[in-house]
Amino acid sequence: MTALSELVEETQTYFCLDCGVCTGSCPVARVFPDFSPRQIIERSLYELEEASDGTIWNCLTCAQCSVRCPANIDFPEFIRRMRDEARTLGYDGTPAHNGMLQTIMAIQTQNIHQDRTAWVPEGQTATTGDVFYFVGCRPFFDVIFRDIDAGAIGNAANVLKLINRCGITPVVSNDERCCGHDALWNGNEKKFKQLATINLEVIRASGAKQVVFSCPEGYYMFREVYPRYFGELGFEPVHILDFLSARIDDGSIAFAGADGTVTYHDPCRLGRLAGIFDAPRKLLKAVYGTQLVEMPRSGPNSVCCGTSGWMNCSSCSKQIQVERLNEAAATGAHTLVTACPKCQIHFRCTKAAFDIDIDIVDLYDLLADRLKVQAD
Amino acid sequence: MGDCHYLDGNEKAEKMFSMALELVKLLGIEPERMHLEWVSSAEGGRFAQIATDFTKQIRRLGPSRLKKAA
Repeated sequence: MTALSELVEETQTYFCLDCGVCTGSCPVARVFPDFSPRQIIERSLYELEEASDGTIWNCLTCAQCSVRCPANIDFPEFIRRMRDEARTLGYDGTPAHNGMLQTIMAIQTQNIHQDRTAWVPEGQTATTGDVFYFVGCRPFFDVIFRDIDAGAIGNAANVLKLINRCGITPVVSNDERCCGHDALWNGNEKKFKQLATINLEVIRASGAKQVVFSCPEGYYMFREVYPRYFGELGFEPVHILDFLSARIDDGSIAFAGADGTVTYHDPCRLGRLAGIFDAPRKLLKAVYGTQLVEMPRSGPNSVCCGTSGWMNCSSCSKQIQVERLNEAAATGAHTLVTACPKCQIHFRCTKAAFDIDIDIVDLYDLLADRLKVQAD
Repeated sequence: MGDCHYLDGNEKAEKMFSMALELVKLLGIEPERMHLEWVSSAEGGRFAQIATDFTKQIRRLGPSRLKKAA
């Protein structure tokens, strides 16, 4: 049995009805007609598709196709495994930023002593405790994307401020690694496993029972993917949005209102893949009330921010991003709120390059700014 | 600065260098493993001296623990 027929067997792509809903839903296919999930699946069934440096690297793995597929074919998973196979043959797509971020991830698989917590205000975190705040890659984004004023570490400080205000002093560790999301979706399962193994050791050593995430990718990986590879984690991954939403309900935190119209972009990992749609809207309504407006493509139909896994950033990505920013501006909102550091980076890059008149604001910066000193 | 055959090439290089230096520190790699110096093509002797000194410095630091990565 060939590697491809084995993959077809395991991902059950032979259930494909050839309906084309996947290609019709695909944000890449809209701007790059040569890319067709339906044709990739069909070619795989005839053993015509091969692991190469071809179209398999254009997929954003945003899952818009798979959530709509009537045959429940997990196309992103099929692509991931095709990439894993392609990587063994020496193909790796086109890493963005000259592969700098992939290099950082590779270095993090090694026995290093990072110095990544200099941003933490003194006394606001602990070395052991019940709650671990998994910061994610912000310390690196802060340096790499300073030019486009995106990915700043100030956002992590604001998340920490929100956690502190709930009466919790979380663990923040210098030994935290990349969650492995990009390695996995870049078709490098081995690198993902190395990073994940270290993260599990670090978190378990802290004694934490809950791990709080503000990054959608980290949360999705720990909640859905880590257990698949490593079984029972021994702690509970919690997204900061669910965490804050529960505390609005019990009255332990409150936010001051603000004027202006805003719209919210659902990140694919947070929305479609982790199912968190309501909590960000509840928090935004706590600040903006009815001035929160929706874009035509929102909730489960939200469009991807145009690039994923730091690779294949192309004119297609830019077109997806320009269309998205124009869609946001057309709602009449002056601000597009994002809840993902990468969405923010991609949109700010496009805003800077195309001079589109809409502010892009991080949800946690916004919330920390409107947090009331004392809940009344 | 700006006195570069490639116009603002050295300004870009300095920006890139300082970014790389910050990343290296975050990753816990010794910043002494990086060095930036401006040397004109007419300064052969000076270039050799700087390269020799930097090589000595790297030898003193010994092999990096990151040999296997990337």
